[in-house]
Amino acid sequence: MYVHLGGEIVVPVLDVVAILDVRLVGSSEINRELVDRAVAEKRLRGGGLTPDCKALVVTKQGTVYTSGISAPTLAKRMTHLQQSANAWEAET
Amino acid sequence: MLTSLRAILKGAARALGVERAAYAALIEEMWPEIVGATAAAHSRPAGLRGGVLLAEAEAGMWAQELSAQRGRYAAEINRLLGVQAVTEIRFRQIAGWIARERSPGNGETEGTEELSAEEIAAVDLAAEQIADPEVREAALKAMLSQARWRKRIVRPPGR
Repeated sequence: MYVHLGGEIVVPVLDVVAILDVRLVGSSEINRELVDRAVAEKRLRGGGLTPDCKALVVTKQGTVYTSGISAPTLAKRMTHLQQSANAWEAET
Repeated sequence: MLTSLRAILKGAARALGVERAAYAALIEEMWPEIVGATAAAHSRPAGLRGGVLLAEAEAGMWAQELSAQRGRYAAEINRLLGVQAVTEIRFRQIAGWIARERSPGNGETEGTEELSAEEIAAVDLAAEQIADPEVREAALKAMLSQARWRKRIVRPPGR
């Protein structure tokens, strides 16, 4: 199952390690460092740290996606998808 | 002490036929334990109707965040009560949120930025899944920063 991060970006639910709320991470330097590292490693996807960016999604592969969708909304989508996946697994 | 009190209340409530009201009171008492001290400062249970727990949450991010976790909270409530009392939680968004005072001195509403060893270990474990070491290190910092924020009461009531 995949979670839609906005635009044309979807990622497998099971690959997501962290959803970081850009507003809530205590220091913007921390966000910047994460994005800079991802850029240096050619692992940044999405529109970058623009004013529209509301969340950073980090995957197991080390890819960092910027998303215009808020972290709580993404978390809600993830929860629903994970519940569906668990129910599906329980039935099969 | 608290557990035995709960057991006594449950037993007495069952005998008197007022289990539902007792569950509602226990849920209110346990709310910070269920959702965490920080989230409890931005939300509260408002009543139990059948198996549906009605709750109020500060409009916006808190309502969304809590609503996203409602299945987990229902499971936790049922675990703590020892019965399947709650099948669903419905959060109502409250604009202009004003937090109620809880018992002073119990420390439950005062969050802390310090993470416990278990919380740090959980974040470490999640970050370890990231294959790229450079990104992993930076992501770990950001994840710890966010986890600290979640433990802290950052906004005054009413915001």
